[in-house]
Amino acid sequence: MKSLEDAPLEDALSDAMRSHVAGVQAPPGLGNAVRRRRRAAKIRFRTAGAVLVSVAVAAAVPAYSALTSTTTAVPTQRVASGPGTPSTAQPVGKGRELGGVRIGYLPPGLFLSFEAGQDAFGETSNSSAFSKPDQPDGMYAVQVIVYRGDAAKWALGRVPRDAKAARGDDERKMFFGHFTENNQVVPEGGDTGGTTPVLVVWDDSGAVVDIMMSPTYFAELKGAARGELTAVGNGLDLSGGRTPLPPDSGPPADELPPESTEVPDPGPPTDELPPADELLPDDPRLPDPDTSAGVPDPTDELPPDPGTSAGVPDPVEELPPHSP
Amino acid sequence: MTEDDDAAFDDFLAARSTTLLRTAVLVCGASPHDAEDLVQHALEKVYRHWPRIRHNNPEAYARKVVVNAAISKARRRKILHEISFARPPETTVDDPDVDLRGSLISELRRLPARQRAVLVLRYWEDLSEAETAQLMGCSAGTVKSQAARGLARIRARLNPGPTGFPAPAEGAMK
Repeated sequence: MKSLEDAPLEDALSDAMRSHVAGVQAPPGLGNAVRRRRRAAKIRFRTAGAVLVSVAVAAAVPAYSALTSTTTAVPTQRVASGPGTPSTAQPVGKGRELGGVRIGYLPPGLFLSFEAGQDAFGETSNSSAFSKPDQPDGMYAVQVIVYRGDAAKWALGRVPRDAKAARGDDERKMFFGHFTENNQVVPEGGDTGGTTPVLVVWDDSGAVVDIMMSPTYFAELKGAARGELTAVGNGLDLSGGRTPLPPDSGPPADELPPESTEVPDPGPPTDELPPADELLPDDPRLPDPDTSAGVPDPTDELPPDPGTSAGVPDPVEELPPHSP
Repeated sequence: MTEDDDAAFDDFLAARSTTLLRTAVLVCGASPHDAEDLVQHALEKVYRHWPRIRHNNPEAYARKVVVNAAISKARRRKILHEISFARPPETTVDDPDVDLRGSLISELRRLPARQRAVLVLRYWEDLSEAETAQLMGCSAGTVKSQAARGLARIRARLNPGPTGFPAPAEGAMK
């Protein structure tokens, strides 16, 4: 190190900066962290968009009806479900067929609160949310998301390779976990604060289904929550929604009259999952979560924005190549 | 994003991420941990546009994103610092045993964010005045004056006596 008198200040400063950051190294997992951030940003973007669309539609339809109707509007009546029976959405069955998947069972008392619409959670995805009557608008008790195509690949990529899978009916696989905002699974015994309980269900049909339960509703159901999630998972018809239900299970939910409670009953919820077996290390459908193709991003059409700092607006294309 | 794009992004990170992280540490004056968060955020932006920028000098784009983010963060940190702490007393290098490098870094941190960024880009990244000007979105003259003022301030604080730190010889500024 030169003294102040021996070296120009520029050299001394350069030397000091080099020395100051000599021990700083980028962590090896930086690429993975960047990709995780990107995926989380996409999901936040789409969820926010879906909520905005739902709010806009919810506001526009009554306004349109009020302007065009010449008769007195009759408030829509919610259908109460008895204990132990699946709820019927309003209108009956609406929202329970999505993305080629039929929801055969829902916890009692839930009704359709909103459909997020096509591709709200990635290309080829559909979602319906079900709420309790006393929940504020925008809140859900159970939300079902059906992923197909690239979205399914991404969804399955979140399931830890070393996690245990439980087999439900029809050789389907299920994985339960508490997912963080960044779609990371909290390890068993870890802090689940701020996470969402999710049962991921999939089989060979190509559909991957998230059954998310709101943390509040999960806590409310206490010990029965896992069983309810499993019952919803077992009650899913993943065969494209076209396979007729068994004769003893009654007509499809969407064909029932509003007051009927005769809907398919996939059996009582249970906390006892079938024997677990090792998940996925050999499952060829499971993409590497770090290299799986991302879901196409609507913001990709935006021009690159290098930042918002004032006075730095020029496009990067004008910068010459440089390697310090 | 194709597999090829992803692989190229990994190569880019392997080659450049440490330098970007070090630049962020110097420009925002934060700890490596905080700077890592900043760099992750900036690289997420790079990753979003990667298929289009990967063939068009992604390094310059990434550096620009990181420097802009670091300047913004440094400004926020300065506000928080001024709210939370009293201004530290003016320090001089009276003790000959004081580590010169540490003093220089301390004085570098006390400079305004953009002035500090100019010094980092000029004397650590070793960019030319023109390259620094393009990255900062200002003229080469502004870069020159900002660098001179930054150095003068450091020099005055380190050695305020009549002898002072030796003034740079003519043409010493790169």
